[in-house]
Amino acid sequence: MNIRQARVEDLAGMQACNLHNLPENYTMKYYLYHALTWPSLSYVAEDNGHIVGYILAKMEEPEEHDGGEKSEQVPHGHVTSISVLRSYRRLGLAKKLMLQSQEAMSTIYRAAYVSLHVRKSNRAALSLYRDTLGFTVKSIEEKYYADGEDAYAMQLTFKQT
Amino acid sequence: MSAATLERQFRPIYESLDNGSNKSAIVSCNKILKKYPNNLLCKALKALALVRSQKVEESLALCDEILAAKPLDEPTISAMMHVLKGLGRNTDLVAMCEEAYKAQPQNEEYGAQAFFAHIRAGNWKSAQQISTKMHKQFQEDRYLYWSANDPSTATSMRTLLYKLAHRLVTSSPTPSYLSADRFHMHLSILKELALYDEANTLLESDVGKAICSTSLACSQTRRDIRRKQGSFTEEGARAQERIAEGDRNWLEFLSVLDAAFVPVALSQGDPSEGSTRQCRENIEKARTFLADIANKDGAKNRAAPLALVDLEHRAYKHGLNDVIAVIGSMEHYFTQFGDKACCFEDLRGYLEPEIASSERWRAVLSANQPSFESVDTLQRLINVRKFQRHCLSEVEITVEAETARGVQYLSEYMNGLALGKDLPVTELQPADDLALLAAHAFVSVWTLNGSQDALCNAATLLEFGLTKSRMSFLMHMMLIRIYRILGAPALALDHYRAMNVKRVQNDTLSHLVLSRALTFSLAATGDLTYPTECLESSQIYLANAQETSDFVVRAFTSERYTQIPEFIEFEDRLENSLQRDVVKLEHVRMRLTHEQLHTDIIDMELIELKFIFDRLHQDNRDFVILPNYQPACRPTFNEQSLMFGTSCGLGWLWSFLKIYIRAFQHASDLDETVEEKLLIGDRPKKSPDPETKLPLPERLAIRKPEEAAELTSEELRLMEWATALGDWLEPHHNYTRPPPHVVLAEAAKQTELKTGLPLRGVDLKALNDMNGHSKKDEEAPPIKEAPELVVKFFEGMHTHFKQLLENNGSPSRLLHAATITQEAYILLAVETLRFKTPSVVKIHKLGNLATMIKDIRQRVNSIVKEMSSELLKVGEAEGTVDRRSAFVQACVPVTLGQIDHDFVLNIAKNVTDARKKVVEGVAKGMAKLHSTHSQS
Repeated sequence: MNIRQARVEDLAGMQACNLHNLPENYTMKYYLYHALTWPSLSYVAEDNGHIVGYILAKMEEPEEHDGGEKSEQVPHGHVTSISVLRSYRRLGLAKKLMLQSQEAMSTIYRAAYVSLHVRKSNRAALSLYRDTLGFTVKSIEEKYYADGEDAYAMQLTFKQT
Repeated sequence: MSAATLERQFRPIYESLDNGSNKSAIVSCNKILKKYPNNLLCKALKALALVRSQKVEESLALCDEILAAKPLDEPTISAMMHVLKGLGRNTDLVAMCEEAYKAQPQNEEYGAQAFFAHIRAGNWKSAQQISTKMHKQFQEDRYLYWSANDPSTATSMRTLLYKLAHRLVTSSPTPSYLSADRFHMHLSILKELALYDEANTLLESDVGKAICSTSLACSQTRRDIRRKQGSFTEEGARAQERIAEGDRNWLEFLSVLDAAFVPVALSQGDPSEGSTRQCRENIEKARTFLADIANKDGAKNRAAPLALVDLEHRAYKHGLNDVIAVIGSMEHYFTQFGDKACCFEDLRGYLEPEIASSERWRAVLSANQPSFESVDTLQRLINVRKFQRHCLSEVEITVEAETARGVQYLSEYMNGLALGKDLPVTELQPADDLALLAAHAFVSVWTLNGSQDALCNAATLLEFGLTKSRMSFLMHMMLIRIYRILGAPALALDHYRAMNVKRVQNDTLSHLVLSRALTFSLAATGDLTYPTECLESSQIYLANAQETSDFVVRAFTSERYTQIPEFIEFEDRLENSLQRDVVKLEHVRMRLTHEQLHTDIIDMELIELKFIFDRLHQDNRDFVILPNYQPACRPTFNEQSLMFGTSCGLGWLWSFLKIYIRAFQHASDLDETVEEKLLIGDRPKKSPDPETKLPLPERLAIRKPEEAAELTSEELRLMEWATALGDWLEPHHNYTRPPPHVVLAEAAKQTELKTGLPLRGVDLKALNDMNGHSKKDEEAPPIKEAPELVVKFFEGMHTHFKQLLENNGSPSRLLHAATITQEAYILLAVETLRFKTPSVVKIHKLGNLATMIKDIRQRVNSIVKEMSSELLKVGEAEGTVDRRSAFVQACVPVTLGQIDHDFVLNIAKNVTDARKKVVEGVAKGMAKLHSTHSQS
């Protein structure tokens, strides 16, 4: 199992990973935007030349006229999408992908924390984020997903080095 | 109009355009244009809405008006860029950008746009000129760089981009090692340009080492550089350190293994005694090291144990140990990780035939007692079954044995369901793979005895599996394949839609339902399900054309040079996708069954198909995604379940392009001169294949065995028939086709009627003078007897069809025979369209030919009619109680556990209803086509 930085041509392989999960419907433009803007935040897990998992992440920079909460005033990372093929679960892949991306968020972009959304029903993912990676639930966003399901908004603050 | 009013007025237009409601955008534009008839932006937005609603001619006229006014404001230019891109008028696009840039030399965006428009078209010289200008204006190095270098090919452009990036990174006041991101880019540049010494200096520095130890991307680039330099041993030592420090990336393990085998791997021929001894020592050391790591990690990480298997396998391949050692390491791995779902995939690659068939390995597998106590024991059982199946030998694969295996897997699946009974509906059952295995066994039975009963069993049990694991895309995909063979395409389409295929997946997966979709298309009866599916799946290519090229420009303006080749390659993969054009051709085939054979369709499709014929295609179809648990000595599930046994790849595309281009060319009045004049937009870049340089008629006549290999026997016959028909009629088409000036005059007249404007770029008078002496001085070609094959084909297909009927052939095969015959029937109409006009026949004295054609038509008409009514009878027999109970009877083997009689009956009903619908539909479609084409 090998983890490496994602490249533009990985898009098809990444999409194939998405077939059996419940991913949101991101446009191709959105993927390309990630690849161009934050190339070091997205990673794929490769096995025998096939992509068996990936993380797609971005940075949120504070805007000058941002009237939001205080926590939004600092640059932070956001996990747009993370997925691991079913037969490659329970191997710690998601954790490895996540740590790679977090490392880059914190060292390259000086992110203060990382955020993500998770489906309320996705117990396995919830336990990964909370128990293994140390995320905490910040709020519940009602009907966040296109199919009407609620999402937990989760966060993990980086240790300042 | 004040700026504020303007802004308010235009907002709804932009919104409509964004939402895809082009009609309302046009209405809003017209309102504004009534008040301000000269507003350029409004015209441009209207042109955009027109292009997007396929009203090309109207849009063209508007476009010309706007371009003549030389727009300079940004909103108009940006709207026009989309319009011109949509129309494929790249030359105009370049001209407009250049013009705008000339007028506003301070606008870098226009410069960059013009520059890239040139790059994409391969106009390196012009690109260079623009960059010189841009350098003068903006004083930026990158433009100077472009102007000083002259790329002449895509490869040299790539090198140039990297050189440019290199310059940028080395001349920057901030050193690259301040950020891992920039350091990675710097390393990649050096790797690409093979500047290894420079790379070494960076890597050997303390800060370089520090970055590589934390950044994955940097560490990987470093590894690549070292490997390219051939320093395997050093790299292995370094990898060993990394692993000792806790790194578990597989590439590090590969480095260790590669280093161990360097002495024998690099030697030419048989390795010397010395190097063999050296290698044995290395292996011993690596083995100890890996075993140590494996011990430390235990079940936490599988990298070291897997590396041990790899080590023993490599040693065996080099003759440095025996099979027993490999099996021993695999056994160890299986004991430790047999409860992981990926265990089978991990070890499959090491299962050499002599290992798979060995008693020792079989004993390892059968030592495992089936247990449904926990998910882990279930997973172990699943792995055992997969390995056992993989290792089956030919003699063990019989109808009886495979049926028994299918039933066994299924009963075990039923037992395993208890472990997942409390899962939420979005989850998958842990026992799912046993259902997949059972379906594989039944598909295997079908390949052995050809009886569809086995496929009914597979379909039923997979349908049941989906009631337990709603999201199992593997079950959906297997069902799609099986239902297509069973001739129940509506069900296949349902499953395809349930997979919710989107975006780029349309390119990689639409082959599942759209290859040879003509077989099931009811377009002739007015049901446009499949043609619509074709158009929808092709949306991704439009998105690519509009969006990816924007990213190329963005990468350039934001100085991310190393990413440009990646974006360009990605754009090219989609732009020239094989599947894109397979779907396009499938759409053309269906289109001809429901639209009138009008010259407009023929002319337009002719031009488009000729473009496709010049492309260098990229095959992005994903077949690996289908599961495969068939024995290693048998074809894969993908190969077995392809409808009619062949996939529609490049050979298929090329064959059908040749058939259609030739037929359309015969029927069309557009010869090369006319086409040149009427062409909207530019020609796409030609494939570098030397074959594309040959004259078109020569290319159309090329026949290659590898292309024919992708055709079914029916398609092959169609190809031969079309060739014979074309050869027979070609001389008469060429002789009677009206001269270019006549065709152009007619086109001009039509354009003026439609748009009120004359045809652009056509000087009729000049053409008239040029064609002063007509070619009609030539002698008319002699009329020859119709080749025997022209009629015989239809008779042969009819006999074939009747044989299939008698042998109870699969409905899809029957439909294939019928739709290929129908296709020939339509192509015959296309090829003879010209000779239906009485004046043409009279002027050119083609009475004899017309009589021959009429005679052929009459004989063919009756065959088509007969086939249609025979097919109708087949349809009537489907969907009856008898058929349903036959299905239920066939499924007795899988009516076990939670699959009861009612469940099977329901599937039986769905399948037979779907068959009835498609068979009757095609029969009616044929009847309709018969009444259309037999009328003259």
